[in-house]
Amino acid sequence: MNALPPALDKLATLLSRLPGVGKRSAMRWAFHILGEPSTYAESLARALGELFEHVGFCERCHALAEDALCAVCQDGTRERTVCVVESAQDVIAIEQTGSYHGLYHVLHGVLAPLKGVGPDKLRLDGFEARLRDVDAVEVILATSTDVEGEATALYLGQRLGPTGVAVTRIATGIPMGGDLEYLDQSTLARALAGRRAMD
Amino acid sequence: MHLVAFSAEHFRNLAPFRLEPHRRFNILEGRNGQGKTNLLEAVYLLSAFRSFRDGRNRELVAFGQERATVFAEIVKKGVSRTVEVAITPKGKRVALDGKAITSLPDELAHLSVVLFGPDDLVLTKEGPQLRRRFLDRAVYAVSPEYVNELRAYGVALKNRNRLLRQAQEGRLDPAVIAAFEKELVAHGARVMLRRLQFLESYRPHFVRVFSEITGGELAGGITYRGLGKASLADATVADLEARYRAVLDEARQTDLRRGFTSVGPHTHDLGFTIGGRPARTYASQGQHRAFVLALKIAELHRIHDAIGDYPVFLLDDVSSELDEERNAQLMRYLDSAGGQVFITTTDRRWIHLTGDTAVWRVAEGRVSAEVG
Ligand SMILES: Nc1ncnc2c1ncn2[C@@H]1O[C@H](COP(=O)(O)OP(=O)(O)OP(=O)(O)O)[C@@H](O)[C@H]1O
Ligand SMILES: [Mg+2]
Ligand SMILES: [Zn+2]
Repeated sequence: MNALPPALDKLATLLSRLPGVGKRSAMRWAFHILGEPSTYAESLARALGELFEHVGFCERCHALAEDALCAVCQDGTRERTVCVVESAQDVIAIEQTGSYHGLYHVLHGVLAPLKGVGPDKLRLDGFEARLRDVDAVEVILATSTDVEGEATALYLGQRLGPTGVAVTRIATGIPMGGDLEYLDQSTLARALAGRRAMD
Repeated sequence: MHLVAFSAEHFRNLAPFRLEPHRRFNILEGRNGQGKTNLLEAVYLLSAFRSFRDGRNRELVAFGQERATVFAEIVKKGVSRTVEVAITPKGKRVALDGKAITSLPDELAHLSVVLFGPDDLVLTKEGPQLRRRFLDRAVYAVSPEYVNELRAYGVALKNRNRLLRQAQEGRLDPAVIAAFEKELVAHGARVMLRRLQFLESYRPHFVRVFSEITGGELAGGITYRGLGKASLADATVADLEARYRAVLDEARQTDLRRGFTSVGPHTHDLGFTIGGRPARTYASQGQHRAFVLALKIAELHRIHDAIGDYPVFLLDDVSSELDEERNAQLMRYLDSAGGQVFITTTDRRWIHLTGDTAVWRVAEGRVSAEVG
């Protein structure tokens, strides 16, 4: 007999879809939420609802934004470098290092022919125009150092050649297959500081 | 390096077991289809985190079960470590000393294992695929980080092949192909360099062992075959990149037509010679067997050079395939060298070892110690 109330089962099933969460820990979380005062569940539900109401993507750089433009794009004092990253989380990771003061451009992916991802699936529409608009002096390619991330950087390096903007690649001290979001801040800061011109 | 405790649950047909292997010889005796090779496979899994058999990880889990686990406590240079591999519906989980690891360790392998099985006995006769696999495993055993280079090369290769097929459908983006080709060449060159460096250090062992086994009649030789006729000895990574780049450029039109990459380390081979002639076509049966025996023993020597210790040696049913003289040579070698050995056999009369031996009976997936 399944003694589990359907509502609890449903919550656990939804939680177990999160990365790194197995069936057992999802069940533990669900029971934990049930054990807290109901105000906790209410504020959790509200936070989840507000997520989609209030958080979207910046129309210029495609990073997370609460308005049409993200905080970085709204900040007129940022330097005229553009750091290209795979995901919105990478922006947050780099911002936390406190060592970068330029702009971003979030691709929302990398070139991955095996997964059917070509340049048309990345947020590259109008990228060159944006570089002109912000009068960029440097583009830093900060995609991950696995094969797809490297190939994406190589592709962008070639594609941006005609723009005349200096193109650099973050230093490859990053472990193979390493995603930026998992790097500790000092490693990330060093990777940025050690960037080199693409040939 | 040896296993002091070894256990598994829901692994293939094996009933849950926990054993304390002998630190020298472990004979796994049982009739056909009882689970002997499965036991060796479990040891191998703890070293390479994958099987030596083709197929999917999922197949390692006992029919009707969700998850298989294999565990061992290993003593390496007096230090004890544990390693556990679980095959779950969500994938493979590896823990070293109880701590989950997500990427392969860069340090020298926590557990070095050399397998000598039926596939090895035809190394000199069959196609290049088995020889490449032999080489890649041997390189991995002395340089575990090689697996990352090999994997990266494989990813670049699969992506290029996909792009070639997309091009056949009229979706050719030269800039994207060029980017993945740069990756292919960069990782391919590193794979080749590792293999070449390994061969330089391995060859002297092989030449010596082969000469010992055959009484010095004829010299055995091994060459790396790839990227055309010119020798690759002393090539740097930059040389290899340039050479690979050149053959890749030459092959591109053919590759676009065929839809796959026809050049690179995934097509390379080892050339085996006896007395300067190709072993494949000139060697006698006895010479073929001497060759593979020397290949394996030399591998143990090479690993011993690298880690200052003998790897765990897994012998899968080879005695029945070797002739009496080669088998006797193998046994003499095992007795004279050190290290932990697991040998499967249907009949222990093949195994003539004088060293300390534990016998494990394997019947219908049950492993039991033989007393006496
Ligand atoms: N996932 C699995 N679950 C249950 N049984 C399995 C599984 N995979 C393989 N087997 C069975 O394990 C049995 C033993 O296989 P194994 O290769 O270890 O035999 P063996 O003792 O080495 O025999 P031989 O002497 O013929 O080589 C086979 O009968 C096979 O059907
Ligand atoms: Mg077998
Ligand atoms: Zn923005």
